[in-house]
Formats: sequence, C-alpha cells, structure tokens
Amino acid sequence: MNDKKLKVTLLAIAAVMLGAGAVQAGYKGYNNVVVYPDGSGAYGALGDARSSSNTKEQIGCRAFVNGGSQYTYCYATDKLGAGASCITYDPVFTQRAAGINGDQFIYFLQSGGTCTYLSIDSASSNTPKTP
Amino acid sequence: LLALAGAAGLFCGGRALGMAQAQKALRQSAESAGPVEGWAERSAGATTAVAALDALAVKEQLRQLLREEIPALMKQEGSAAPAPAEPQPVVAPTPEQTTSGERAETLVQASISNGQWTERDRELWQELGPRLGPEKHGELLRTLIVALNSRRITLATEGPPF
Repeated sequence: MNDKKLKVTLLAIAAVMLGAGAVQAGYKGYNNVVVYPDGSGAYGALGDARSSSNTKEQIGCRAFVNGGSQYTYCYATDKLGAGASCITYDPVFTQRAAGINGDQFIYFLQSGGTCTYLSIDSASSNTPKTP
Repeated sequence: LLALAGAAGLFCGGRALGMAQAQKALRQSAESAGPVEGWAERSAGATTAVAALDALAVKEQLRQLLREEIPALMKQEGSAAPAPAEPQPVVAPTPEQTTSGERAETLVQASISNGQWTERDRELWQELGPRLGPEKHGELLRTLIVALNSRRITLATEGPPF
C-alpha cells in the first residue's frame, strides 16, 4: 500500500469515527432569548444567550437581601434589545432563583411587574455556559 | 364506664392528665354509689333505678370535667402552635437612605420621561440601590420593571438592566 492509499484509508477511518461520535452526542437544544412582544414573559438558556453572536442577549435572576427583606428580580433581553423583567417577594421564588447555574434554561412570566411563574430547567440538552 | 372515661380522656387530647382525672372522677362516682358486687343482689327495679341515677351522675361529672379540662387543654395547644405573624414594625429610613431615595426617584422619573434606560442610568442605579431601604428599592425597581415591560422605556444597556 503506497502512502496515498494509506492516507485515504486513515481519513476514511477518521470520518467513520467522527460520524459515530456525532451520532452518540445526544440531543442538543438551542434556546436563544425570546421576549414576548407584550413584555409578559421571556425564556432562554443562559449558555445560548452568552454564546449568541449579538451583544444584547441575556437572561437571569438576581436575589436581593436588603435590611431583612428578600426579593428576586428576573430579567431578559432579546437580540433586538427588547426586555422583560419581574420582581417577587415570594421566598419560594428567591430560593429557586438562588439555585440557578450556568447550564440552565429560565422561563418567567409576569403580571404588573410581579413574577407569576418561574421555571428553571436543568437538562442535558441545554448548552453549558462557556467563557 | 371505663370506655366512657377512655373516650373522655381521648377527647381531652389523649393527655395523661385528662385520662387520669376522668378515671378518678369515675372512681369517686362508683365509690359513692356503693360496691359493684352489691348491685347484683338488688332487685331488678332498684338496680335499674340506681343504674340510671348513677349514669346521670357520671354524665354530669363528665360534663363538669370536660368543661374544666377542654379550655385548659385548648389553651395549652394554642400556646404550642406558632403565633400569627405580627406586622413588621416600619423602620424609618436613615438620612442617607432618604437622600439616596430622592436621587433614585429622580433618576427613575427622568428615565421614564426620556423613554430610555442608559448605561449611565444603570451605573447610577447600581450605586444608589444598595443605599436604599428595601421598601424604596423594591418600589422603584417595580416602577422600572413596569415601565420596561410596557415599553415606556427602551434599554440602551449592555448588562442586566437594573
């Protein structure tokens, strides 16, 4: 077997191995930040927001402890710069928000500025937040 | 009678005290009515009358016992239960909080008037926020949130808006 044939054979083996690797990679979901046009809610994955090609997308929650009061503020901005936010004094929300990590997907709804729904999804399909 | 006493004891919350007092009252009632074995030697009519009277006396003693015991037990139960949340005393803002509050209020109203929340606004808000009392901070944050959600302000910021 000459060098050319050997190279072709090795490339073919490498392609098969790469292909097999891709098949075994598992399902990947991509969730860039979506803000409802009426501002009533938003969702998106932290990893996808951070790795998006624009500089506006973001989503997150911030917990405040201030003078004995605890409250949580969740916010999202889409790629066009449209935002939605909400605040809640419900300690259950604060507890949930404190558990958010970089691999998660956040979904919140609001009414009159108050968070009415907060979903934090931990799933293998979420894009991990990378630097 | 003992079953009745047991029921009374259970009704009083299953407490040993309630049960013991009920049994004691019944014992006293039984002693005052004479020995149990004597009942069998009495005539059928007399037995029925005495039993009826005895039952009435026991019932009355039980009523009395329950009247005395239940309020005491309820009181004990009530003291064990968590007290209803009392309203938190309103803490007056410090002079620094008042000054920061006025500056933050001006910032928020100006941004709503301008229809835009800029990076400079955000920086000032980050500076003032921790100096506000929780009530003022929450109130102004909500004002900003409602303005943003209703599109009365647009974001010209890069980081988290507020």
